[in-house]
Amino acid sequence: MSSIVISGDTSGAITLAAPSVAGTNTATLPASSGVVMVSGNMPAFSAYASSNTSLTANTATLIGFQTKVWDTATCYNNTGSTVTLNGLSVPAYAFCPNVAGYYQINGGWTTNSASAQSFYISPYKNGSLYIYGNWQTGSSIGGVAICSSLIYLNGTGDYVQLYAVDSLTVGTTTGQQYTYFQASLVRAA
Amino acid sequence: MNLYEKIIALYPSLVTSDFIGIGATIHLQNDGAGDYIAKWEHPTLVKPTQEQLDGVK
Repeated sequence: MSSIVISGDTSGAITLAAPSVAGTNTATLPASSGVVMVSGNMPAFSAYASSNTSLTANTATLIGFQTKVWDTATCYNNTGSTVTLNGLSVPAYAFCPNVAGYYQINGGWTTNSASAQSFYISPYKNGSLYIYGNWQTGSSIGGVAICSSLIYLNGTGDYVQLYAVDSLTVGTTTGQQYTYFQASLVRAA
Repeated sequence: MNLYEKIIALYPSLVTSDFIGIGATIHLQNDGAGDYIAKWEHPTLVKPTQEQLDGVK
């Protein structure tokens, strides 16, 4: 037997399939209940800024990440307007997954000014500051402010955006290596 | 003149640490449609009115 098919009560089926290679493999289920995570229900995305976002001094500003590297479940809005994704209303440059759980959020932002300045980038959940990112002080181009956080998102509308603050009025250094936004489901709810 | 510059013109005593970082009491924000005052909890200076801000040239 290479596979087991479990038919649904009304329609559909689940197939447990053995790999098509020789050998014995064992999947041991833990003695607890929960949702089995497979790649199809684990949203992940990565995007970066390919266009400038201007920041007024000392003003937390929503950063635009226009270019997707990947977006496995189409949960990231890479436009400056609200759009509907997976039936959910997703604000500009927001990640709004349709699977409830705990998400690892990574972000980086780089100023385009060579003057002495202070800056940081932080995740905002549903429009409010969630956690501070690291604080870059006295840095010019070459210093990337980063943030890293685990955030629970309910899968029915919770979203995350990244805001940057700089002590000067500056622009954004664009490019994947400088200004980026990533997220991935770590654990289902 | 942007919002931050107008606020500084009204209150020259304000410094960067009043606006950003731990302990900041004034939070300016831009969600893509322009700068605005998201939070004003300064212990002595009152939040400027729109009329005051508009009057700064």
